[in-house]
Amino acid sequence: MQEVLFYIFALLAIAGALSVILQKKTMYAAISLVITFMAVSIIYFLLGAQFIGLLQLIIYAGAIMVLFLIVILLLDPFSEIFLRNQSLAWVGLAVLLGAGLFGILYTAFGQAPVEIVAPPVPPGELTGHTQSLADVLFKQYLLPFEVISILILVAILGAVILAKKRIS
Amino acid sequence: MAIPLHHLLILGGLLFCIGLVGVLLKRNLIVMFLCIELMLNAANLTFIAFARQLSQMDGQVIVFFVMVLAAAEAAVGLALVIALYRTRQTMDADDLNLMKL
Repeated sequence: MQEVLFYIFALLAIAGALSVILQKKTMYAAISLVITFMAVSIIYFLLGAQFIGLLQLIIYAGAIMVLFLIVILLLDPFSEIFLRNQSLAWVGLAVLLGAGLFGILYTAFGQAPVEIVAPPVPPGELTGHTQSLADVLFKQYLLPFEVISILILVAILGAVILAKKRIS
Repeated sequence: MAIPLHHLLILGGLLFCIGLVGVLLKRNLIVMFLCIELMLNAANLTFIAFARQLSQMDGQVIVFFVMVLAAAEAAVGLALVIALYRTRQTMDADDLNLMKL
């Protein structure tokens, strides 16, 4: 059952990702990316990372994509996306590069020691729940957590200053 | 828990490569941003897969940090796109070939 769901949503994620780069309009590309994000979030749930799956839905599919959609609506919602260069050679080169990288990754994953012996999770202990994530996040990773909160504060201030209308 | 690690890694790699091809092919700034988000997501997926495989929480914590980073990146990047559009009336990456705004 779990495997069947995984393959269904993996195919959905790949279809959404392909749709992002094949759509002619910016708006449709953004909506396709939302589909991919939701499919990936369900794969997180299947892998037992419930909290991260919820964050994926709320932050990625919610906040970040709404930000993107608002900017697309603000600028030019029905603009056509053009390819960087109309020549077929460039398209072929880019696709070849992507396919080559995927080939390298595929062979590398084939050689990876997949059968890493994981210490068995004791029954009743649910990894991926908010509590177990918070245990690690607020004890072992406390300093990176504080540093990244400063990063996002700086990013918010920077975004406001950059997008501010200049009064000449 | 019978989803093979191999297939998860391949899914992550495929999503990453699709995002890479998108960044190389498109010249609309917003679509390039969308493809970068897709690549970040593919990396997150492999982190979660290894966190599951090793029964450790560290991978999930890293994914948490990557999400915060993606939010910051989207905020700053879209602010840059708005500022550029306001001065140049274009979203084409090839038209932005000067260092000054």
